[in-house]
Amino acid sequence: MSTANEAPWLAAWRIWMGLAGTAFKSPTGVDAAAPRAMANAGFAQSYMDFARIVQQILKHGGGGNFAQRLIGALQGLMSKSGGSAAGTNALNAFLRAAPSAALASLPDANAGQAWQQWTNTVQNWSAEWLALPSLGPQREWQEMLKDLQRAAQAEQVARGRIDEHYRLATRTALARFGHFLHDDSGTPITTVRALYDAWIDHAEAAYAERVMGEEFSKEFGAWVNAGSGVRLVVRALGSRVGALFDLPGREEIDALIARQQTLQRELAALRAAPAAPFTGTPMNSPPATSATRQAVNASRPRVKTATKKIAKAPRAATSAARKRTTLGDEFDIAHFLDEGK
Amino acid sequence: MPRLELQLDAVNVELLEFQDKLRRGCGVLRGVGEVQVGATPRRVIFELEGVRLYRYGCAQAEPGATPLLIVYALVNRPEMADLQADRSLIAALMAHGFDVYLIDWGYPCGADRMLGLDDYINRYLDACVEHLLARLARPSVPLLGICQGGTLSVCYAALYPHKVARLITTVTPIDFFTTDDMLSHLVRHVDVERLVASCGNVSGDFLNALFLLLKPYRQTQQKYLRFVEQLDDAAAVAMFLRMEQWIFDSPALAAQVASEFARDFYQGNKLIKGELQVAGRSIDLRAVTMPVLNIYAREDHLVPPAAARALRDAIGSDDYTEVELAGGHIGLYVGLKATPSVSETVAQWMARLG
Repeated sequence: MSTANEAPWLAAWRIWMGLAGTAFKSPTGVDAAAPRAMANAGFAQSYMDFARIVQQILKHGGGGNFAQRLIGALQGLMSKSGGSAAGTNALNAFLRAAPSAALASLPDANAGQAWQQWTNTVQNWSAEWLALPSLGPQREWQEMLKDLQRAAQAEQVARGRIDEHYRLATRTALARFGHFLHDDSGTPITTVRALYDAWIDHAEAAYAERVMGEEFSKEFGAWVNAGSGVRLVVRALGSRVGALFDLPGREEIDALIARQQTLQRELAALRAAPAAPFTGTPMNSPPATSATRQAVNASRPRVKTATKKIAKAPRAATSAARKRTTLGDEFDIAHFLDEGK
Repeated sequence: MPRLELQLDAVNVELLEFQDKLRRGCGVLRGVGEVQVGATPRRVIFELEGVRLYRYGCAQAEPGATPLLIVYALVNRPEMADLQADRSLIAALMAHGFDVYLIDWGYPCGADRMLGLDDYINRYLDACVEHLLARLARPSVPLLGICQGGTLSVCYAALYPHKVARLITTVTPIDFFTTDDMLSHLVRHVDVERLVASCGNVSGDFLNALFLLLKPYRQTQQKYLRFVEQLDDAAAVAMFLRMEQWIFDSPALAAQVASEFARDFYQGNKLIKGELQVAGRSIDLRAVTMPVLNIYAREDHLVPPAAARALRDAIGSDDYTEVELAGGHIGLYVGLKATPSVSETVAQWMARLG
């Protein structure tokens, strides 16, 4: 039994693991006669403890209806002796009914859940605040916070649409799985594992079907885009706060990275055309193949001595870079595995 | 006969066996300890701004050994090709007599966010090829591209056909608009410019989440149930842990290349349409005139077979071979289903060409 103050999920796990503990007193592993003996010696009670905990969890998670049916079915099961035909029939009947029971316990899209009500209330407050004009010395800050609020709301709406798709996919999967279990024309399922695999097949198929719809594709994109919107506003806020302390923002760093990338690309062009004096290359210039190299060289103006002197510095740097970039045999796999992880 | 034929006793035994396996497996897990991926000795022969070119094997190449440059994807790590000694594409290729080289793109950091297709194809890939050509005193070298690395290799071969002796693509997406391409479907309406503007490099976590969304039930649940079933097999556990380490050791994708790849390939399908431009140069697949071997996986959920097979009609090569192997996107390299294996297929094809 669960102890007082123990979290339900922890109690469920403890009891579930305890089943094995009580079952396998013999170090040799599974004893073929064990199940029946255990059913008579507390195993059933453990099952019931487990089921009660599951019931608690499901109640808190909004699955009370399903939990009631689960506990009822388990009570029916445990009231019969393990291995009897009645027990087996009850088990199969329960499993056959399980998908529709789970389906019935899924909340409707517009169910008046307490959480939804709370969210709506907050949204109403928020809407009132957003409708007020910003003013006063902190006007700009108010505007940014409102931007954040709007972005967060947009993300929430977009995420809700995705959640609805997942809910509908789950409904489809459960409905089809229920039909599948009642359809006696296929290969019989004789193990729990096979039953589980069949569920996964149905769940994946229903999921893929919904996800591959155009509506999902658009709404998935909208959700990711809404998330980007939230991050952009948060970043702008962060930059503004950072600027108060003279901390560099994303824009400054990006500008530096852009300069660095330009330099690296120019360096690459120098490597490709070592004989030519360097006068700069546009950022998105094509690679200096022999053909383009000739074209570039032909178009370059004659450079004066001063320019040549300036050009020598990067060439020296190139030479040093070459030395750095061609490494020896001391780099073995173990070294890099350690370094890279 | 009823669909459900579960026997209560059998169910109890099955559940108890599962629990017993789980309990014993915990002991096995503790004993396995840390695992390392990468089995074949290698050394860096060239490095440029964090991109490394490896040569595999300690010994000098056999006289006449055919060099083969492996171009891996920018997402995930190339150790997948060398996960462990008995599941190593690289080791198998070496056993077939190849002198194997591999480009490791490294882990892009925040300062690499502006690296684009131009940098990866024209700068890094070309620098590695140039280094290899100089080292081997050859005019061209065979390329073997894996997944996105195959797409990059195809682009490279179109731009520099004279430097690519043979082109081997494996599980390589070419047509990104096939009807069964879920990844493309998910990305289709994402504003990638806005995404990278908000988060910079696209993190490995984001990419992993995206990949998990392709088969959420199998990849987050069923896979681990199967793992429990293998828990009493130390070798299988170690293999699984290596796969886990490899899968979740995901480098970020540099912001610019992520944006370009999503926009031009997944959203625009420009490669197959002949509209792709890299640094102002058109990628014309008809320029791919060298012999081409295209290997794809029958059960690939990331790159559907049709997406890979599209290469056939797009390129200019008269010598095109297409091979479908059993397995999935990753299983093709580390699984045991593919017969012949990727390495055997490559070796036979190369031998035919002489």
